[in-house]
Amino acid sequence: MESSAADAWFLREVLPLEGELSGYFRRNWRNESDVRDLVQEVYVRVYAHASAAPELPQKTRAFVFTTARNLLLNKSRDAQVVPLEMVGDVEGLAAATDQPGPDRTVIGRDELRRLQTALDQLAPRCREAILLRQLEGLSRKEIAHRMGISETTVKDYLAVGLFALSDIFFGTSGNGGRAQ
Amino acid sequence: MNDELAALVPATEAAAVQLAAARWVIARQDGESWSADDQAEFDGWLDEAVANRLAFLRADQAWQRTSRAAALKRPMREPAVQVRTGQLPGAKLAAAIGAVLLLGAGAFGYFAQPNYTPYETPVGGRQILTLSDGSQIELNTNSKVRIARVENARRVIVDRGDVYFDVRHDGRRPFVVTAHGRTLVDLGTKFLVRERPEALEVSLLEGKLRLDAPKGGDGSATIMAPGEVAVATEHTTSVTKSARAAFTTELSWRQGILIFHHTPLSEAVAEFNRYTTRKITITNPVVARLEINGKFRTNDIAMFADVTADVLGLKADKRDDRIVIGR
Repeated sequence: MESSAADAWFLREVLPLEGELSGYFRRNWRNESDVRDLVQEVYVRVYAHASAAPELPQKTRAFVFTTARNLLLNKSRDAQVVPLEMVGDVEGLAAATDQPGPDRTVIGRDELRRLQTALDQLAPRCREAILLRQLEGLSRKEIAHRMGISETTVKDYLAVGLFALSDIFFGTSGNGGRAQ
Repeated sequence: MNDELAALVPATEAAAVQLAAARWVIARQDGESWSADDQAEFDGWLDEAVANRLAFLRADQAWQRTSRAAALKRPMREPAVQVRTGQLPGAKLAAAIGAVLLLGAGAFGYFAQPNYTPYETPVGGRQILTLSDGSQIELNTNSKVRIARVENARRVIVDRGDVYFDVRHDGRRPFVVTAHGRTLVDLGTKFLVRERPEALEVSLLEGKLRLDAPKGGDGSATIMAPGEVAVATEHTTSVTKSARAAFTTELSWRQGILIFHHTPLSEAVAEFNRYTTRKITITNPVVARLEINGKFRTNDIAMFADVTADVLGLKADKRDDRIVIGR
């Protein structure tokens, strides 16, 4: 499998499941702070599998959630704990289909509204930096001047802002960049 | 990084990778200061772990979504910096893009074109995209375009399907459409592009449109006038005049309707099948040559099959996965 095909598959089919996947782990794993690492582990596993296989997986959703369940089972075995609610969820998985979610089709206005909502959730300084970059098209130097901070700090604001925006877009919750 | 910012990123392994990925996405935006060394370091980081690559794809996607939404909102104009310093925006940007393309053209084909945003419709879908300048791009069933926002031009690549363009002309910022290896430049225009495996078909409804000469050939560019239809392959161009009525038929999909005038059943069925996964098949070659007239809703294939069968005295055998029309 060409890496570009696997990349496209990951973006198109796997990434939109992030919100649901995070929710699944949050319900079935006792430690909230592990959720992000668990999601990443699932990504790495399914991507590695897809890149090695001659063809892309047919039923991405079922594949992703089966991988998630196996990961949880292994983890539970290591920790010698049985996650309580998990049995119910496993049954629910059987019904998992590959219906396209709302994320697959994008319409301009919705997107704008979603961006607005996402920006509203950012820490104010991160939001300001992102807006200056994306809406005003300013360079890093100009943003530094405008905000009265160093260029290095601009980079930090933009990076943390993007970190938080990714969480919001793809549905990993947590305080992700929200003002404390 | 200061404490206030550091507090916004959870202390987990995956979060550290995601933050590093976000930093790379941001760093790659700096066209001018992005050096070959930076690219080498970035390539090394990407290759180091699958998790790195995936975190980059994720952050890059989020950034593109932000740019895309921002593009819808922002009137297209020069960035303030270029106006103020009086530099040639086009040349500067071209140099920056050139640099990125050259650097990215190696092992990471996917990463070489960060500027194009894809939009596609599923089978049976239809979608209108409105650009920030008011231009509209309308996608028919199973169609795909990629749109790039660059400072001195508006660029659209048509990958497949039917796409109707209603372009706000701007002499300083041409609207350039690429399909089937050919290039169209609007000169104030409403036009329809149909990208098919065998050829590109362009119908001009209003205004003026330039179809560039085939690459490597010795032909010249074609300036199209309203009512003209150009059929182009990578190496050839032919232009014919079409009746207005034909345009109505060709564009009826914008209202969710297909219109047939003395259309062979095989053609009508092929057209209809583009809108649905439950396809119609015709087993008999004589039946395939029968002609059909009428207006049909693209979202009701069963109705089309029933009416056709009724009018032509045939049978429509409706199965779960397909409909067979025969005697």
